This record gives sequence, structure tokens and C-alpha cells, in this order.
Amino acid sequence: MDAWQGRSSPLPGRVAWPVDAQQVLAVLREAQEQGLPVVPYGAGSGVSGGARGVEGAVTLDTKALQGIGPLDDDALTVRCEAGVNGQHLEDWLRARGYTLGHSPSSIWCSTVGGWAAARGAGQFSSLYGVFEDMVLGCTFVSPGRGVVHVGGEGGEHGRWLDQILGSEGRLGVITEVLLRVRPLPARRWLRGYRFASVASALDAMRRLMQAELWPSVVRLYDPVDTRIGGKTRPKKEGGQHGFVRRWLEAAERLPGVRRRTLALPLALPRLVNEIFDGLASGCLLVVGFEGEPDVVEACLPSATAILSDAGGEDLGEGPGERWFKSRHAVSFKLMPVFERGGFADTMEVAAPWSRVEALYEAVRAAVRPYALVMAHMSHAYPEGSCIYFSFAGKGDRDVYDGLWAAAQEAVLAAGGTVSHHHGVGQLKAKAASIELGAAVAGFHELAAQLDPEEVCNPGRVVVAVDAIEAPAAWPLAASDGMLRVPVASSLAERQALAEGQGVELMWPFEHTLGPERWNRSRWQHPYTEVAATVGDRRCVLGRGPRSASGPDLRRWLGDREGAVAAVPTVPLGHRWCGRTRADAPWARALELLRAGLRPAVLHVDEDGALRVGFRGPAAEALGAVAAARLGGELESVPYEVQPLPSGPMRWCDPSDPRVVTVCEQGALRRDEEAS
Amino acid sequence: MSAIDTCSLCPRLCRTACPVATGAAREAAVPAQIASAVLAWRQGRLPEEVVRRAVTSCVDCGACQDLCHLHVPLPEALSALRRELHTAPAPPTLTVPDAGHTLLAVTPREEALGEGYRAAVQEAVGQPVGIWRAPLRLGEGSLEHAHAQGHLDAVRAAVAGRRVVTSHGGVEAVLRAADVDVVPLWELVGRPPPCGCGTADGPLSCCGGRAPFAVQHEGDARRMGAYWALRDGPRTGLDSRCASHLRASGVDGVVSFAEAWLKEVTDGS
Repeated sequence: MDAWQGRSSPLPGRVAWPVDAQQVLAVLREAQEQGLPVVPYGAGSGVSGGARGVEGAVTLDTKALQGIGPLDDDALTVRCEAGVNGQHLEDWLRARGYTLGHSPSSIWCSTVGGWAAARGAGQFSSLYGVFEDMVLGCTFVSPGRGVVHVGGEGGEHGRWLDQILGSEGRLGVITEVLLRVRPLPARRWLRGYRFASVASALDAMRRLMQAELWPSVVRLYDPVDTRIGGKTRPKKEGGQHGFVRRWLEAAERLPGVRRRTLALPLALPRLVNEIFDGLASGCLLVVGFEGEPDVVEACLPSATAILSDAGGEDLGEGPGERWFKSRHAVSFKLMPVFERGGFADTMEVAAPWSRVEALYEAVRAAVRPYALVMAHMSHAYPEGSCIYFSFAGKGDRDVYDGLWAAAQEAVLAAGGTVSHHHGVGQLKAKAASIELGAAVAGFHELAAQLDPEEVCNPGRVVVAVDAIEAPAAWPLAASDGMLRVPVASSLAERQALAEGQGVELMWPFEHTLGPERWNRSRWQHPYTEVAATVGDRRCVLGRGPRSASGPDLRRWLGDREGAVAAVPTVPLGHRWCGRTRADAPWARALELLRAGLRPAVLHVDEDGALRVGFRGPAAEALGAVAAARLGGELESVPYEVQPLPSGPMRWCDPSDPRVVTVCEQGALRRDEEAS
Repeated sequence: MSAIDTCSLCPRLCRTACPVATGAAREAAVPAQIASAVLAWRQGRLPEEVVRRAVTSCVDCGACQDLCHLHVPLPEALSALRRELHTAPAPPTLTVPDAGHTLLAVTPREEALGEGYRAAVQEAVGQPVGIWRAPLRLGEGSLEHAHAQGHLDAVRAAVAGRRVVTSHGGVEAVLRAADVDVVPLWELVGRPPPCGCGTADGPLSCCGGRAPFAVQHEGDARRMGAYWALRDGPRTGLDSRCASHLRASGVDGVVSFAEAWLKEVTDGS
């Protein structure tokens, strides 16, 4: 917008192009000596200003960090340097039969380091997780502590990882990450459903996400987005557009017309919003499943039944295929708006299910005086959803800034997180700092060690705001699938609380906060919200099911006295459990995880039998898949919750007698030294 | 609206497709960033020298335009800028053997294949063949310059009335532009064309072999070769132009089409 309206961007004083971590360190130390700020820069795709230049500063271009590999076929991991283009990593993995599962619309123009620094999320996050779920460890360079291998097997300072991811260069520079990978899906199923209203579609999304079916895609387009995008119709081949579009294109060839065709209506946002409200009818939900064919097929009957039961009209495969083919096109769609004299932008927020609709309405109301606004719910979780607003308007920087201020205020007031996956940068720094509240003390504690002289990317992510006490925790509804429990509570106490609510803990970890991220499977999120008092101020983190509002300080907050966490739960209902005697039972358990099954119970009994259990409407069907993959019948046994080990653990061979559990990357034993 | 203006506003999704930007790993080589540099130059915020260097990063492969959802013809715009900003190199001095109606244009490496190579081609042609050690930089890049015609005239005069067999895409392109009767080796021996840089999606025609690029960004060419090798692994049966660049980049296991074909013929006999 600045460039188009004739405002030049700040130019760095110098550009550094380090080829390894030691050179990165040299750049940071030299900048520190000279008192120059350092702005890490990958591909510059961020929309929040995290990599925006600073006049006279050092821009540290990470793109010379280009290494990929090794790929560990056994542990399903790959090492990748920070400067690798996202699509190139995906191409590299696909050539070897794997996928990262991370597919942001910016995948063509963003780097792996940027994904980690800003806690990105891809379009298939419902199945594969957001990017931080894929990161097992990283190599991190900071002026204060030099080159450190964080997290992962053999790494140190594992708990730094929560804060390094999302720090957007404020603490130092990520030079390499260790990532989870998955075998390429053999089956992909995509379908569109029409719903009469956003409310009914949200209800369908929630029911689908809480049924433990793990779809890959659940995207809801609101009525305006559905109408404008023409998303329920098949995409025209060969770039042929309809009569109106062709007429518009012809008219725009006349001198001086092009810059007015959109600018004129965008100057009247209230009227345009009203017109589109009147034109819109119904909304589109795109649903997808992918993975091993037997697992996908086991889930589909239950999924389609949920969608039909919730009032969805099956539109067939067309809308899903259309979305899949054009899923990277959104970035190209913004450009013509600028070209025609307007501005366009997007904002992604998130909230638990019970607050999603109110958040949607609040932000729409805040933006409508400034711009045409539409939205889609782009990422769904058992506990809530992201809302991705797109808006287009006309005006100068004051109008644009006014829009953002009003929108972010509305988000905070409605109890949502101000960033789901676009990070914070400069644009959202104030709002995110308000959201983090007193917990920024945790960030400053770490920053004092890593970047004591504040060389790294100053003015981003966390900025000074007035001391704010968080409002009292929002009430959680039964539909949110969460239960607030004391962090210090025992598993038995939490289970009793859950039972009192008629639900079951989704992940019965021994400790409320569970093990660190690389010692559990990517979908096992022990907690969402964490609340505690810091100093004399109440602080609540985790306003959305997932958030990219700066670093993840929840675990730090969870260590405060009297901390309370909201843990995910599942309603009681369908359950299936079976057991079988098998050679190398933990190895067989791993095979099930790697086939894409996500059992609620996966345990080796004292007598050496493997126990497998599923919940939800597809429990029996998934049990049959597990039985087939284990090579025979499973003896049906009563469903019985098995505690999930927490605390320090180490990866080990599945045949190790000390194995206590498995995650996607392998078997785990307790780390006696650490404990 | 011009391609330069449009691309300057774009979030630069073309960076994933551009082999030079990828191989060079430099922001300055990203197609849309080149467009931004041109815009800044026009606004008086960047010196011409920066832009002159930037536009030569483009090797005109068209990958950015193919990927772009709006199919903005940026390569064409950058090509026009190269014509505008660069003077043509001097025409090459060409020495052509007198003997034979058909010439086999060889690279230094192919020349080392010796008499066997000439004899095998001669057998395929069915008439005497003379070896022509064509300068590798016949000047494909010069085709874009305002003075290209004089350059092509020199080439045409040197091989007038002759037929040239070559396994080098760059040589082939210039000879074709000069209206010389040229037959690529693969066509002569009835094989499918070598796949350029060897991606699964087909030829890219973007080896970076043009003089301005190679001279100014030798380091970039090395990185680009290393990138493709990393991504696609060892390669055989390449166009000689691609093969020589990958070798120059330090990539192991490269076998050109001419070498692979000759070995096949020799082993068969």
C-alpha cells in the first residue's frame, strides 16, 4: 500500500548474507558492537511487518541457509535450514515419498525459517497441525548465548522452543529446524456442502472436529465470500470469464477508467456491504480427508452423516476441487485491488467455539464502515476455529490504520486472539502485547539472556503497553470441549472433574501440561488456555484454540502458583477397544500411528498385549482398520483410559524394555537423569 | 498497467519458480524484486547500474510467467530492458573448416571424445562430416541486443550453405536465429529431446549460460547448479549446455546426451 501510494519503505544500511550459523553469530555480534539493529529476512511474505526494514539497520537475509536433509525414514523427520523456500522443501520431500503437510497459501513465497519464527499454519492444519506442531527442535543463534541446539533429541533448553517459535526474530535467528514429516497421502477426498447460515455451518464444523475423525480440511466461507468467489460453481476452463467480467475488462481498456472501476464503489463501503448482504445466500463448507485409503474410508460415513444431519446440502466434489486448484491464488487477488486504486488486506483471528460467531459479527461490524468485508473459517480444531477476514477499501494510511485499530479492539473485546497464523510483526504488536498481558515478563526473562542489548528485530511482537489486567476468564460452554482444571491437579482429580461434567479428558496426561512438544504426537495438545496471576495482575493466555500472537508463554504461565489450564475433553459416547498379543508390540503400535490412526488408547499391557482404543462415531470402523493392519482379529475388551506419560522423556528403540509410550517419531522412555 | 508496475505490487510468489532466484538464493534475483528495482530506478531511488545488473539475472526461461496466476509477461519486459540498457558484445570470430557439407559443432569436452564421435555422427548423417569447434558463447544473449542483427550476420556468413549438427542448445538457438540449417543431435539420431535442466516437469531452458549472467554472477551459477543437483539428483542425457554448466558448478555424475549416445553406439558396435 505504501509503495502504491508513493511512500518509500525504509532502506537497510547493509545486507548480510550468512551461509551458516557461525556467520549469523558473527553478524549479530558485529551489529551489537556497532549498536545496529538486525532484521532477519527470509522471503518477506509476512503481512504483519515482522521483516519490514529499518532505516540504516542490518538486514540479515537467511536465504543462503539452503540445506535440506538428512531425511530420517525411521523417525519420520527431516532437517531443513531456515532459508529454504517452502515449496522447494515440499517438492524435495514429495520426490522422496513424503510431505510436510504444511501448505500455507504463501508456500511459494515464504521460507521455512519464517514459518517457524511467526508460528504459521497451513491449509491442512486440521490433520497435520500448525507449523509449530511440526517443529521438534531448532538451531538458534542469539547474541547472548551464541549457537544453541534447542529441543529435539540431544538438544538443550527444550522449553525455550515455545518462545523461540513466534518470537519473529526478537530473540535471535533460527538457522535450522528439525521437522516431522508424513508419508504422502494415498487418498484425498474433498467435497463441498452448502449451509443456510453461518451458525448452522459452524455447528457442523464443531461436531465434525469433535468427533475425532481428523479431517484435513474444514473451510467455511461466509455468504459474502461464497457469493463473491462464486465458489460453489465449477471453475471455468481456459481463463474464460463471464459476461460482466469481460465487459469490465473491456471498459477498463479506456484511458483513466481502470483506476476508478473498483475505487469508486470501495469508497462507499457501508453501501457496498449492504448490497452484498442482500445478494448473498447460503455459505459453502469445504471438507477434506486424506491419508491411507482404509483410514479415510473408515471416517467418511460418520463425517458425511454429521454434515447431513447438521443441514448440509452435498454439492459434490466440484467446490472442493475448485478450492484445491486455486488455493494459492488469494495472494494474486489482492494485487488488482491496489492496481485499481484501493487497498486490500486480511486478518486472521481465533476463538473457542462458543465465541466464534460473536467474534465474527463484532469484527464485521468494526470493519464495515471502512471496507467491504468477507470471511472464511480457514482452520478448525476440536476447541474452536480461526476466522480469516478479507477486506477491501479505499483511502490513505489513516483510513487503513483506523480500520485495523477498530478491528483489533473488537477482537480483544470479543475474547479472541488477534493473530491465528500471520504473526504479530509491527501491525499487531500493540494488540498482541495487550493479549499477552503480564505474561510478557516471561518473554523478557528469556530475552535478557538471549539478546540483552536488544539488537534483534526491535519494535516487533512485544512492545510496551499500559499495565493491563486480563478480564475474568470467559465462561466456557459445553460446546467448547474444554474443562478448566488446576495445573497442579493430579490426573485422578482431573478425571473426577471431567466425569462430573459428563466428559472424558481427551489426552489424559499424568501432568496437566503434558510432556514437551517433541515427546508427544503432533495432535496431542494437552491444553489451550492457561490463566494465572503474575505479580499482582491476572493473566489469561490462549484466547483461541491456536494462536500466533507472539511466543507461546502458556507453559511459562502454567508454572505460576495457582495456575489454571483449560484442557480438551470429549463427550462420553461411542467407544471401542481391543487387544491382541503381538511380537514387538510397541513397534506395532508405531505402525498404527504411522498409518495415520490416532487412537485414544495405545498401550502395552503388563502381559505384553497391545491395547488399542478409539472414541467417536467411527470408533468401531477405525478399530477394524487397526485390527486388519495388525493382521487379524482384536479381542474386544472394555474401553479403559490409560494415562499418558508426562515429564522428561527420551526417544529409544521400540524394543527397549523401558518404553512407556510412543509418538509419531518413535518410542519413548522416561529420562531418569533429567527427572 | 505495465508488467513492471504490476509485479512490483505482487507478493512475489514467482520466487519459488525462478531457478536463478532459487539457485542464487538472493533477493535481488527474484523476478518481482527485479521489477521493484526497475520501478525504484524510474522513481529516481536506485542508480541505473543496479538495474542493469538486476535485469541480467533473468535467463528468460518463462517459469515466473507460467506460475503467475495473472500470467504477467515480466520476462518480455525484462528482455526489453536488457536491450535498452546493454550494449551488444562484439561479434565472435568464427573459423570454420573447409571440408564437408555438414559440420559437427563440438564443445571442448565433446572435442575430447575424438574421432569416434565424428565417425558416429558421420554414420548417422550418411555423408562426410567436418568438426567445427564452435565458440561456446556464440552469443545467445546477444540475440536480445539492439545490434543482434550484425552478430547474426557474422554467424550466417561463417557457415553459409552448410548444415550444422549440434548437441548444444545455446549454439542451436543462435544458428536457428541466423537461419542456418541446424539439426540437433537428438533429432538426427531419432531420440526425444534432452530435458533441459532435467526437472520432472520438462525443459526449463534456463542454464544461465548467457554471457551477461555468467560473467556477473559466477557464484550464482555455481549455486544454481548445486541447487538443481540437490533437488533432482545425478543426471544423464542432458543438453551439452546444461551439462557443462552443472560440471562447472561442481556437480558430480553429469553425463551429456552426446556422451551417453556415443557410449551406447560404441558399446553396441
